[in-house]
Amino acid sequence: MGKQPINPVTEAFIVQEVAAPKDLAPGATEKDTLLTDVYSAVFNGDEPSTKARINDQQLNAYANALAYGQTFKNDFISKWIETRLRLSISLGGKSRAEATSIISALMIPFSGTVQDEKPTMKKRLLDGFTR
Amino acid sequence: MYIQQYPIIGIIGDRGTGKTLLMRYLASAYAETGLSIVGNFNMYDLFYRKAGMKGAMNHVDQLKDCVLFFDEIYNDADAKDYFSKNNKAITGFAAQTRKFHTTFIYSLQLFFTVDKRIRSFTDYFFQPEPYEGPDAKPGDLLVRVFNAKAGYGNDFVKELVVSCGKYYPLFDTDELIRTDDETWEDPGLKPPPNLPKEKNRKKNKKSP
Repeated sequence: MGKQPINPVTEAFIVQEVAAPKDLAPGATEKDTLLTDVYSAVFNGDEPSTKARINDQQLNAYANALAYGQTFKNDFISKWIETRLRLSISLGGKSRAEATSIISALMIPFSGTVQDEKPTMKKRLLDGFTR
Repeated sequence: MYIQQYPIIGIIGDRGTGKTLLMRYLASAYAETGLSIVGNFNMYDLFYRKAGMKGAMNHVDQLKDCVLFFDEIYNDADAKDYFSKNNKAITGFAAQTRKFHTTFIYSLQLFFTVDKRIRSFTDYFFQPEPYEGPDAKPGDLLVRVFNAKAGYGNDFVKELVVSCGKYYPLFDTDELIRTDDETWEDPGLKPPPNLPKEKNRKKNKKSP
């Protein structure tokens, strides 16, 4: 069977480039490596570094991974993600209102049902904000 | 890696992040490649057919080589109505768009509000947001592309910046999308709403 022709518009968006993309936001370098490290830490249960910060890109990667129904190996990982999200949002200088908006939009599920976890998760994430 | 010729694409993002703007951009881009455009929202300065979800489902014989654009799809396939005949029909329709040679593109704000089966059939997710990098212009979008069928941790495909500024006036950001819409209009070109109106011509008729 020969290769199916793909519409060039579709191809422009979905075909993964081998070389680094040219049109990246500033500071967004080594993107695939960052995501690989992040996923490795998350899914393989690596010990998180308390000094590690997550930038918005990694935060989005987490959120998307969670949104697509990916689950994590244990509650420790879930709590680690929760802590990292909280640190990321607070250390990133976002206000409580901005953090609330982000968390609500992400609708992040953890282990357990969304209905059971979400209100508690939201409260835990918002606790400790100083702004 | 197998790449779908007629993919199902979800455009996901919070309110105001550029989902409909990206759809409007894609509509023009696909139209330039010779495909017909069908959508459930107003797209000005584009020859296309406006149709609701039910309208499109009732006319599958006319969807060959089309690109379908359904904005705010949870209006039609709410996750809370998972067991409804309506949702079953819509997901069955979406799952078989490949047979009509149709590309199916929808937008959603919150992931879990859309019927799970549609999300499961989705091949790619595009996540737009306003681009704020150097030389950013109004309407520039940073679009993150995710392969919805990839294995865990491998779904990120790429990021790209798309210049959509010229399409700002070519759709109505305040348009309310109807639920259960059976609209199936004739294809045509909708002019942008800011064009001069007919009253000037009437004034000329009255003048000596």
